[in-house]
Amino acid sequence: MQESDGRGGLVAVLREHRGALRRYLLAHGAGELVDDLLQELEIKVRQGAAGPVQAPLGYLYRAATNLMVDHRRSLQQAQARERAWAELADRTEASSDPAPSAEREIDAREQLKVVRTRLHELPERARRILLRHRVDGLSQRAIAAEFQVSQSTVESDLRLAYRWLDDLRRQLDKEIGA
Amino acid sequence: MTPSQQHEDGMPINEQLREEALSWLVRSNDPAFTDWEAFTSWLEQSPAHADAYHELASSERRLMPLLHELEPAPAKQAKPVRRWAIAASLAIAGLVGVIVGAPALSSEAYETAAGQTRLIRLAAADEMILNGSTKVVVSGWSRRDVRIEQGQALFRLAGKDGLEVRSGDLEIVDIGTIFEVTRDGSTNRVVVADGAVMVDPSAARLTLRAGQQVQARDGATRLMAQAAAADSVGSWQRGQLIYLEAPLSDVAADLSRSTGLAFSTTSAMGARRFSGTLSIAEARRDPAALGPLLGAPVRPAGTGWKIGEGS
Repeated sequence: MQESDGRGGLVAVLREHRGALRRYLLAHGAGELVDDLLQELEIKVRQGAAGPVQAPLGYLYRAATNLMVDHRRSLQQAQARERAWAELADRTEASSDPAPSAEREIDAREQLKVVRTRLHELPERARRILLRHRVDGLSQRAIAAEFQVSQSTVESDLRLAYRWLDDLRRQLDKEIGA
Repeated sequence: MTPSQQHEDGMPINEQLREEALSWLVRSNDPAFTDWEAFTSWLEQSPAHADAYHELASSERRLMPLLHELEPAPAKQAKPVRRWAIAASLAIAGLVGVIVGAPALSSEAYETAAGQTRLIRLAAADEMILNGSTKVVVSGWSRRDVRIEQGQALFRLAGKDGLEVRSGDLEIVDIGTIFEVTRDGSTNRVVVADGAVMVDPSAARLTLRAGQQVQARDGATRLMAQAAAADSVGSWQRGQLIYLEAPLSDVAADLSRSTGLAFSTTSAMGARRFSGTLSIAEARRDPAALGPLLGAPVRPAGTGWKIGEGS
């Protein structure tokens, strides 16, 4: 497997695959901001991984995916916030840092409460697999070995978990957003 | 993204498309996934594909931290930053099956250049203001974990949720308050202007109240509260530096951060105490004029300024 030696190596791989990554961002709906986003990706890559990264191309695509998820979310949140501001219209946010964590306005405790009350709907194994996969970063194959199940079982558990998260998000949007 | 690519809230997306998007999410989230070409092609087929994918991906991004939060403590002991470091070193060791991907719960780093300040809004009504030459990392759900890598940060907390600040090996928990944390090299300083904080909550449990400070090097075994000029807290933000019996080495570090000029002290002067108020703008304009105030000559040395005679 190709291995990149820290940031410099990653940036070199990024330059080499610039065209493909640009196409990837466009496919995600980057639109006219594609070059800005590409630049942001490069900045993130420079600041990111401290040590050597295995599979640098995969790392870059993953970082690009995260970037697009954040980008599309922030667009959505900006719209939601505009609606909320229009209703409140009494505070300015002029001095605040606009970038991160836009859901700070929504009551985190409320959300946590909803998730807690519905946690039992997600089968125990699917929850544990999801966390091993997405928090600890284990591959599906490694998880299959750890849980002593087939890889397709891991896949279907993850499918179940993502669907559950999406259903939950829709419910939260209805309760909080409306 | 154009508005036409977004679908209306509440409008059910085509179920089949959702299932397809789910398959791609499952596949592409796997650290071992390599078929980005095929994934790109699928996304390119229609903007609706990307919409369906992002619907799911953003739900995951938003709710995973909550799910993680609800895990019993042992499962989330390691903070995201640390976990990242551990994962990386495992990869170096060549452990089969572990591949480093971008961490799902990413922490956010903020940096300022010398002479620059920056306001960062944490959760709720809580604010953190960074002085110059400062680097902090904010992580955790609701952005409640703050690590000062270097420099100085002022915290103004109105929220009810506890904030955890780490500076070197010193841990600080707020009790609703305004306080300042500074890290110069391996020395940590906490000064409280309003309310109280608890320092080292797991062992020493030292409570600092308004007008008190504590200073400790990494590895220090004793923590002692001392008097401080409460109005000094965050004074740099108002263009001033205020001191009560502060060592000149601290003053030099503060001046460097706030003016963007490199101040240092001679070894003899570093421990000398200073009480008084300095104007950041004046110090930047005419560093030598600080001399009489500090009670020691301030002269150009290399690319910066030296406080004291000799070297």
